Amino acid sequence: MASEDEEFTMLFQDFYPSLCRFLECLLGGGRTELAQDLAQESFLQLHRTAWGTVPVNEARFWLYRVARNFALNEFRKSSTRYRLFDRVVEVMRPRTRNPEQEYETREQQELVLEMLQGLPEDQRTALLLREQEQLSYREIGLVLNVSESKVKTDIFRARAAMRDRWARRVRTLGAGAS
Amino acid sequence: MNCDCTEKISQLIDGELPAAEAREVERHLIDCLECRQARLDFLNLRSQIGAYETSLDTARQRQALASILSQPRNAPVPQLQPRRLRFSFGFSPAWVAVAALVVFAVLASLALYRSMRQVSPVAPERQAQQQPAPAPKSSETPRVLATPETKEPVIAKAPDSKRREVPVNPAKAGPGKPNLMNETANVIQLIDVAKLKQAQAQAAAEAQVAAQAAAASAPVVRSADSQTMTALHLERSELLLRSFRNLKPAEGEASTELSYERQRAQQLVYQNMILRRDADTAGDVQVATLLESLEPILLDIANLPEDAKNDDVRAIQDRVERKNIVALLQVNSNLMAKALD
Repeated sequence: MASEDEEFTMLFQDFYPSLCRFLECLLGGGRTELAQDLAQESFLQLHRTAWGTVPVNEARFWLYRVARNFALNEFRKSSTRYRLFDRVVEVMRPRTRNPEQEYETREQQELVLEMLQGLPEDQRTALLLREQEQLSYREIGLVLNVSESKVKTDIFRARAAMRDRWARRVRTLGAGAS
Repeated sequence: MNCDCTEKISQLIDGELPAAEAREVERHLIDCLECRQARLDFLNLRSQIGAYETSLDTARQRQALASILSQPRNAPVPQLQPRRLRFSFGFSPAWVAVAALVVFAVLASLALYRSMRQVSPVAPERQAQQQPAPAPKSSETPRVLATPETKEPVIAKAPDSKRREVPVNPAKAGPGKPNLMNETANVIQLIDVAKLKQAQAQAAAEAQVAAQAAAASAPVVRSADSQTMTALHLERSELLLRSFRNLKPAEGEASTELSYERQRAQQLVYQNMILRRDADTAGDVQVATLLESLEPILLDIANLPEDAKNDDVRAIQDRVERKNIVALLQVNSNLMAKALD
């Protein structure tokens, strides 16, 4: 049992941060706290119900599938709940970088999040799994329970849409500056 | 996007095109400006999305793991409570934040009250007690004073904070007449001291981080040409390894078609050696280490026999996966490309 716990701990340490990042980008709106809660709940689900039955090399895909379902539930429950406390905690979080760099990074991240939120959920999930988690089309198909060809099309459409938005944003900025 | 090949560009950068088709698209890229631009834009998006960082609290991560491991296995997962109830009574960072805000508001109002009282006329002996500290030379740095009574160093606040120095010695407060204001002032001063110490510790930590960052970005003398070559090499290697990783070994005893990958790896391995030596000479440890871990993989692919067994291919694919080399290449080539921009 101890070795199973050790194995679970290793899996947790390897994938908890990336699961949090994936959920944060999927949920959008800087919902860091919620993303971390859902990541924890996904691991809890794995530990309580599936650990030992899911092969270790597939546990990662299992986690992403469950985490995505949690995120979809959140979308259904409430799309615009205003989490004041989360924001207070976020504002009070100590920063270690210099403020200028922090601001620039934050701004870029917000832009990326905003552009991602404009995509349909399935395209957004496929693109995040591809670009952040480096999953192949086959693996993404396993997570989302769809065919490889749908993954291929979704990723291409997501990229094309984000590219268009990016170009529009650049044009708007250019027009504003002139 | 008028060119029909744009969708294939998307698959090409993911290493998901079969070798023959990949070659065809690469040839097409040479002539088609639109597709070249699409490829650049897609890669740029990749670096933007890949660079997204989330802020993680390691203490919270440890706590989460401990709480999961403490749960019994093979038990039904309880229905999640509505999220709004989670802030009702339990301990959570949000409540800590609110409590901190309340404490801060109380202290701030006390300090305000005290400064208002100091403006009103006071008895001469109290006036003597409340002599302001002499103005420091620098208004920014907190000073270390030694009170005559205690001889212990007390950090005094800079005068621009509009708080006056109050003697710490309670004997001066007057016998049998508890001076509430002085006690409050002492509490505030102690809190100031704690805050200043915390600020100093934080500043020291930040300085350390900055020093580490400066050390990491210590001037690595490399020519722009060499950096461009390295960035290109990393990108090409990334594409090759992606495509190799996604190869599906042939069914049964048939050998997998690998001539494209082998040829590409042979080209890259020589370039890798040259660039690694170059990075070593320039003292660019990060790139040198990356190229060093890339080299054996390129060599193995380059040396695969024409009728390579599926097991050999899988062994290399496993190594690529295990070393997470594709992600490392992606991060580094993006960083270098950004630096060159």
